[in-house]
Amino acid sequence: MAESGLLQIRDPRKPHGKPVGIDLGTTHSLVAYIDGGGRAQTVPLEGDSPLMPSVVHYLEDGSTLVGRAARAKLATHPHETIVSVKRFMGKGPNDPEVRRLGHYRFAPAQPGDAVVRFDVGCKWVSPVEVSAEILKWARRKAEAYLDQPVGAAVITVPAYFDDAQRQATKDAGRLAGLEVLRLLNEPTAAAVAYGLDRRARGTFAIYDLGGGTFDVSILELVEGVFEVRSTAGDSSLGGDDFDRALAQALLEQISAALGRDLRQDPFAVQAALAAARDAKHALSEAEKAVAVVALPERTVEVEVTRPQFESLVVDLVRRTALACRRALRDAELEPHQIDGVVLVGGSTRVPLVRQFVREMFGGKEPLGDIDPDRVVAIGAAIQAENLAGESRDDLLLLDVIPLSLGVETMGGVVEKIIHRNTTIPTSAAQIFTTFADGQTAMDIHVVQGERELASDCRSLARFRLDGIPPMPANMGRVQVTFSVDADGILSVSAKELTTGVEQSITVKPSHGLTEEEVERMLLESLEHAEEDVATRLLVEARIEAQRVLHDLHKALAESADLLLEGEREAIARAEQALREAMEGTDHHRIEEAIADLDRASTDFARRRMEKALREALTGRSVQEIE
Amino acid sequence: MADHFEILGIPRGFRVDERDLETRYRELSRLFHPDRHAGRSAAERRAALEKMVQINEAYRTLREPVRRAAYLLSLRGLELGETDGSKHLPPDFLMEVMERREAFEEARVRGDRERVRALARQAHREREEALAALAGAFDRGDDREAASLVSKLRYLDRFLAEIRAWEDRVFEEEHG
Repeated sequence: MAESGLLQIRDPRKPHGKPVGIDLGTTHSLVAYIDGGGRAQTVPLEGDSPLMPSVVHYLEDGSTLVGRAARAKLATHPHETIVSVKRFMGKGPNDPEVRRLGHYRFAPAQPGDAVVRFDVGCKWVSPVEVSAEILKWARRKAEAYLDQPVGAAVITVPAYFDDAQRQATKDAGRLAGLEVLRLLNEPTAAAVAYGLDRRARGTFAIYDLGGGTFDVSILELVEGVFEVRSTAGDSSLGGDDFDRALAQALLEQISAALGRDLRQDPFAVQAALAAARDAKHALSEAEKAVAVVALPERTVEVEVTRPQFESLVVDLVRRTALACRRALRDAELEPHQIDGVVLVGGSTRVPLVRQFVREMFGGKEPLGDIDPDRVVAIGAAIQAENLAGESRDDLLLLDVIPLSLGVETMGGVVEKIIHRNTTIPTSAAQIFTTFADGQTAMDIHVVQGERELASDCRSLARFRLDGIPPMPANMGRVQVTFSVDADGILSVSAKELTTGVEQSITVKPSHGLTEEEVERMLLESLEHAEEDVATRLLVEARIEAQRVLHDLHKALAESADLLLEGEREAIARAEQALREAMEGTDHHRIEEAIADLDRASTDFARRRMEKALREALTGRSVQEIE
Repeated sequence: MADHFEILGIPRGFRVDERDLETRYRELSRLFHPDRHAGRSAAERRAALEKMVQINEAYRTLREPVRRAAYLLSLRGLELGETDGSKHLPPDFLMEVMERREAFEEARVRGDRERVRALARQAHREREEALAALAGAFDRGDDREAASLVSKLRYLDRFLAEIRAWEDRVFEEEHG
């Protein structure tokens, strides 16, 4: 009976709906998917264009407009319209980003506030919520176009995003009702789109200058395995900064001409930014352009030549050299050892950027024949399909952690535990000793960054390990283990070694939303108010239970010989309990039963992996003998 | 638990066929990477993840010769520790280290980049020589000599890292 129940499952690994890749960009967002013929396609999100402006406008009743419709509101409603929200992901209210040129209005910072919030008139919203609106609209438009539900997605992030920024992006995905299959680094996604297309082999540099972020990654491609050797970047440098530099110059010139200081006027700032963006685009083709600044009372035209524009942005472009150089060094490569350079991001259309990249990588002409705006989304779609089980057997991405992880020690100095450019998933442990007699607690401050002092690094989390038995100084020993998963997200556990007192935390970044906040938002969001949350959770729990049972039976059929005495009985008991829970309607009970079965089969699963490893190695030696 | 050589299935020793090492790493990654187990039950995903973490750690250790040598010595009970290896070093090398540091310090103060580059070139040459000698020491089974060479190589690597850090700072000041 139990067996026939299993056969009814169509394919337990398949998440419901079409898997998609989403490029959640600073200026634009895109959705891509794999069509029936196995080709990657982008979804037209705005008319015929796949580029949906990453702009969210809040109406008085709290509902939103996203994309071009929202951007059209910028000139008249600068405070209620959020652009470039990606720059604020994972940022605290006191971050320097908050004070840069822009037209945002921020909610007054509350003491202990971990995240910055925009005041959009009707309410205060965090960057995670704003990003979730973009994702929800992208998802809806994709569903309408594909005429099928979209449930699971790979969302791309800049390779140089830290833990807080990654966590914030993942939270935004959840809030938009998506199953986030993976956070994929943008340059890696671009490499996938290029590499698979060309069956390439060799060492490539990916130069990715997006709207608000800059990444450079160096990868080695061999037979479908994309091994990232190093990555570096600047998570607050992008084409937006070109616009700001030009807008600043325009405002100064116009203010002088009109005899009135417009540099802080939100309407004028907005108009100048829009004019600067158009002029920048025009200057990629033409030698000169006219910036049309539509001030509320009159329109001002300013002529800009390409050399003038280049003199404004040349320092920004040169700043990317730091990261390029570091990436090369970390990969232990010289520029001439790079076989090709791939350009990603709309800002790489600027001729000065192309010229710079050519010079940086030994004079090689960079590749840009896949549309630099679409290439990231396409790579993400390929990986989404891969993870959803439509596996391309030859594709595997081995990525790295962009910034070192460590803990603060005596004197505020950072002890690095995982170094930057270590391949993920990874884990590492370090032992710390007590410094005072009778010390019973230890504070652990987790930081990310390359600087020596913790105060110069990004603070990720603080937690306290209690229950150390009183001992003389230096006798209490605490082992702190850092684990980074394939999304680049960290979890930390700590253990007192003499007693075994253990604490495990998922690092919820200091500058992030708490789990409770995310759950509350999920419940509040319109998307979920429309449907019965409990029913949805129950359905999901049952699907997960079927998936677990399916895998377990397959494992038992394959490796019954690996079961220890009594183990089969323990697993069978847990399985029976799960089946009973599945008959009921309490999703908590099903989840608990899944967890119990999981515990009962953990050692068995480990032995299976060990055996698989041995077989892999043996198979190899047999081949060698032949 | 299996050691790093066993995990990657290569013969235990200092001389490693790098191509073979890379191939094996890729093959095992294809089997155990979390992406390959995306839709499986939590127990299976965790077991694969643990294995992949071990594979990554083994590869990170064995692909880099100095780390590989230190690891090999630790398997034979000769713990060098991460930093303190000076007890394995001959006194004349320690003298050289001091002189080299002083030369770098002087060049740095004067901003003499050419001199710094020359010091780096020399350190690189010595590094190559020490690596060749290290392979010889392992071939002869001379662990004490190998330990001394590992300590020397670590000194040279730290010295080169300091030079790189200085060059990066100079570069940053010019491009910042």
